[in-house]
Amino acid sequence: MTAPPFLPGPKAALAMLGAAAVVAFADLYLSTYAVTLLSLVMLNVALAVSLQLTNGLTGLFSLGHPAFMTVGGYVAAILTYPVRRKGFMMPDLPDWLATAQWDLLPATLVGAAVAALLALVVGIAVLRLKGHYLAVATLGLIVIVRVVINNLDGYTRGGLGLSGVPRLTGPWEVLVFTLLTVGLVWRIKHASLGRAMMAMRENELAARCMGIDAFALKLLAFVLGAFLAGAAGALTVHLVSVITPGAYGIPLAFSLVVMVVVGGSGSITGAVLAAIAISLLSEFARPLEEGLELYGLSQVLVALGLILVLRLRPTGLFGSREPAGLGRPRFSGGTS
Amino acid sequence: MNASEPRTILEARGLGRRFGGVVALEDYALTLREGELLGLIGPNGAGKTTAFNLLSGVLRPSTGRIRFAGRDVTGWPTHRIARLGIARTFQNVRLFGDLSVLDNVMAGLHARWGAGLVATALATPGQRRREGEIARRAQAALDFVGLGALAGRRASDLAYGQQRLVEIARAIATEPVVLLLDEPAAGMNPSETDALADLLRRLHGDLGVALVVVEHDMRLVMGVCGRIQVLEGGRLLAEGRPEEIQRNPAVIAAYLGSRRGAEHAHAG
Repeated sequence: MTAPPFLPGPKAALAMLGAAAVVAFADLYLSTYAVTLLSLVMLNVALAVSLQLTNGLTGLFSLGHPAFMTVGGYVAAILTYPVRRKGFMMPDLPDWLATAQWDLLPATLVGAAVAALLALVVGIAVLRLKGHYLAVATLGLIVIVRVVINNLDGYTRGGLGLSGVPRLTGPWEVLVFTLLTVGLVWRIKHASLGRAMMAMRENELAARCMGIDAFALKLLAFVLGAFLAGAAGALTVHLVSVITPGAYGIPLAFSLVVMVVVGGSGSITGAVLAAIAISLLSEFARPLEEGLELYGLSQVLVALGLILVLRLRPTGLFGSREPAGLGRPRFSGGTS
Repeated sequence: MNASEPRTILEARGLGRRFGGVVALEDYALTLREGELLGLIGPNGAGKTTAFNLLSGVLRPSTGRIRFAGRDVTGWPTHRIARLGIARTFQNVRLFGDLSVLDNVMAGLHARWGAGLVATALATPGQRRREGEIARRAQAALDFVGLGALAGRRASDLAYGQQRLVEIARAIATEPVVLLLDEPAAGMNPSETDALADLLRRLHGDLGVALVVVEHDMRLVMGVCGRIQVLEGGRLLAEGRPEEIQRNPAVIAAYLGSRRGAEHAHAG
């Protein structure tokens, strides 16, 4: 235990090296399709883990990730779009935006920040209320974001979507983002902040009576989740090079919630594994869907899988826990 | 207790709470001095838990004022009242069931010792120090109530009486000035109740916490409390030392009267 604490522990470092080896192998030997697929799977991992923070640890029920991805994606795409094509694609842009062509990193950060800002406004409005207002509000947000982007066609090309977004995202950028996201949520879960979030999930009244500011903590979990979703949206757009208003909608919100529930509410390992499994399942069901002309088969399979897990193992694969032996040893207490 | 008069720490005047048309508590008054051990008794539905909910900021009072260390805290949000140093337990145990016993107590220490988001993300030396402090204090609180060996167990797997002790450990870990215990002996067997009485004396004697105890076990209340308040029908019926309360005709009538009333109802 001589490594400085801000660096990951030996087991986490090993997991990171393993992921990096997979990416390196894919990058060197596999097709562009496989590399893109790997990147999309990693993005789904990051999305599921960030939703785990909001829904799993804190016990909120947010469906808003697709809305935050859309906002982050559009904002970042407008910032990185080639200046010479902005004139006819986005005629209403103010001069300072029309002449700007940013790099991926600042564009992603700004896209994520705008998504977080949107979450802040929604959160302040509904997080003081008890019950499932957040689920309804975030469901509504998906629709509102789509409608607004459809109608801001001078900035977004409306329903046509933005194509020709520069392909600035590669598997390595996605890997770094995913590792940072998983590491951040892991550290929160295994620190006082995460314990306070889980305490609130388990019994909010008792948590408030212990001095925990429930509203502030919920707002933090919701806004941070939205920030990460916004960044994921920005990276996705620069990976696949297009974005349309309906690209990230209610089916994705459902899939992400399924990943959290199947993995186990609060379990980061569970969310990672469920995200990988469900993403690959959806991808490999696609040729089957086309061959058998059974479109939507993957959605049906995911829904069936959810029902099966809830029936056989209602707490998900891992409950709220991580498999033993991962991460740093916990404090054993000072008095023993 | 010292010869000098201890100062008043928690004070309530004219405290009342209505739920729709039902008066749960009316004109309740409390003067709690530092380090005092006060019993709050009365039949079911007398307003004892309502009094606790008002004093701990869980409910806003309909009437009256609450002062803590001379400061008016009426209507403050629950978490701010808690941070002043008012901790409590619950009549129906409210643990963080899926967390370990140690994590339950550690979660109670977040408000004072928990690091912020940036320090947590970077695992700064200060954050590590705080985590160590939280773990040490939580373990010490568990040792104090005699549950040190159960720290790693899942809280909801414990026996009911032990769960009550975890709640007490969670509350005292925050180093409260005032501790409100809502029926701590409910669900405990006689030997556990004896251990609880001992624990209350140590809390009061060793840690100097001011305690208010709602309890139905009269032997416990009369044995440990220096002063007792009796509530009936949402009103303060009597207040005094245990032996005064036991002789108080109004209290005797209230406790026996309800039984006599029931007999009358039977006869009629």
